[in-house]
Amino acid sequence: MLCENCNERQATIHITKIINGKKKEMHLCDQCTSLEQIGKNIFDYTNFITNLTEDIAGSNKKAVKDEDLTCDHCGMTYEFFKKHGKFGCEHCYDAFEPMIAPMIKRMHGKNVHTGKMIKNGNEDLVRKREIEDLDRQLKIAVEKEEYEEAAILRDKIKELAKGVNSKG
Amino acid sequence: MVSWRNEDKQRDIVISSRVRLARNIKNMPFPVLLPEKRAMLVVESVESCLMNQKTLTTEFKKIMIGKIDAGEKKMLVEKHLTSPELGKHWGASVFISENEDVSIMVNEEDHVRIQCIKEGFQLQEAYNTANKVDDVLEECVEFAYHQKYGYLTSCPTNAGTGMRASVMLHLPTLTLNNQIGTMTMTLAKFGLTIRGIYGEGSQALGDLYQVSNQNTMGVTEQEIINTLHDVAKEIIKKERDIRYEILHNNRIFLEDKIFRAYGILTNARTMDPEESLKLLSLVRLGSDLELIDQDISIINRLMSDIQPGILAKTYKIGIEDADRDRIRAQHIRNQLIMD
Repeated sequence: MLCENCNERQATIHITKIINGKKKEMHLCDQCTSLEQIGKNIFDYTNFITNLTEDIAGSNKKAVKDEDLTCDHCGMTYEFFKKHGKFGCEHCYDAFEPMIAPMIKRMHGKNVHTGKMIKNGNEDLVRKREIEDLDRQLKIAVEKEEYEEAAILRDKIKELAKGVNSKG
Repeated sequence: MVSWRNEDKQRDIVISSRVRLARNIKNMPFPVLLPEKRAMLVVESVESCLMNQKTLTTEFKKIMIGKIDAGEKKMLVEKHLTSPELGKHWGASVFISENEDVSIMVNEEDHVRIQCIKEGFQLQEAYNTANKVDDVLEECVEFAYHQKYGYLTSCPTNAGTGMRASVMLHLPTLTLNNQIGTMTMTLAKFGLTIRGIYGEGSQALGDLYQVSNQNTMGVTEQEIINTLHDVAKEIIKKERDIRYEILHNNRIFLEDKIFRAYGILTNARTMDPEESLKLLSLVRLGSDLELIDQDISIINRLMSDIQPGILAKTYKIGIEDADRDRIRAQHIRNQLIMD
């Protein structure tokens, strides 16, 4: 039997590891078993993401079977993503949407981008972001009891919102 | 205490400030799935964009990673102009500005990775420059952008702003005082992480650390810069406090460590990179505290000069040359004694 870590030398040492409460047999050569190797990769990204995504799938009560998800554009399967933690193309984000939103939230604490926008992005998005900005300012103005300022902001928001709605 | 130095850049503790923006071109698979021909198209579009732009005053040198030798590749990584991962996919290349403050990696994990690195504590400047390069590229290529998730990246940990901002800090006395562990936990509360620049495990070689933002989504670019800036400022203050506290209470202990390091560096006949960094770190501290008459900029340069790839390029030897440790020791002696 070959060592499952290096796939080069004969496996001479057989150990049982406990990962997330599950037993796992490992067959390694003596070099890979050296102290340095034990526990070395338990926090590495790909290892971590596999567990994270499995947890999400487990808690997802809707009947979305994650194994069935495939990105039509690049052919990436969700199974493959789970193993490697990398997407194949931009469309994977939509293809795996039911799993992505909670996962991103766990990673970043939030799952909506609030930073820089692309210049050639769509106009509605720009306007939506402007409204959000003004909304924040409005809240501050009300808190500070600056009602005149608040009224101006409110009118601006109304005006912008009209534009978004009329476009449908 | 440090008034004669460039106070606002805090060069005694902050070695450099860096900002990286990850971008991908719309309707093009990410590099991991990108065939050679299309990968070359990505390189060409970035190249033509940089050639025809007029906003940036610099020109860019193009390097195809597949066409350079191992030594040069290593040197680029040691200078922080590329990452060790660049070269895994087709069309791996880098565009470097004249003064090497901007590097644009193409076909690394993402199609485009814009990086700006500035000497000292200049996070805002680094961001402004990186952002400007981003604007320039956006003029001619359309980036993958999602209504909700922002800039889309190969790895979801980078999505949103696609931004990683970091500062490289020299923290010899916080290390000596075993403060890095608690600091790591406190930084996590601010969404920041710290890691050693060189070496693995808990001991960072040369006491050099990189502090960077963890989250890239749900925060604006400016918020990331501000948080990192303010927290780094606190770390700098603490490192300075402890430096003077040890100096005040235990001067001999510190002087002894520093002068022993200086003695070895100026006399040793062979020297590996690890030992060099450990000792240079102490001499750097001694220089900053004016215990030793040594120009700090020479130490900074030495810390990078002694890296295997850079040393090999300078002396035109192979990175595995049997004589490299002797050459390194000689180089250090020359630089320190000449000064």
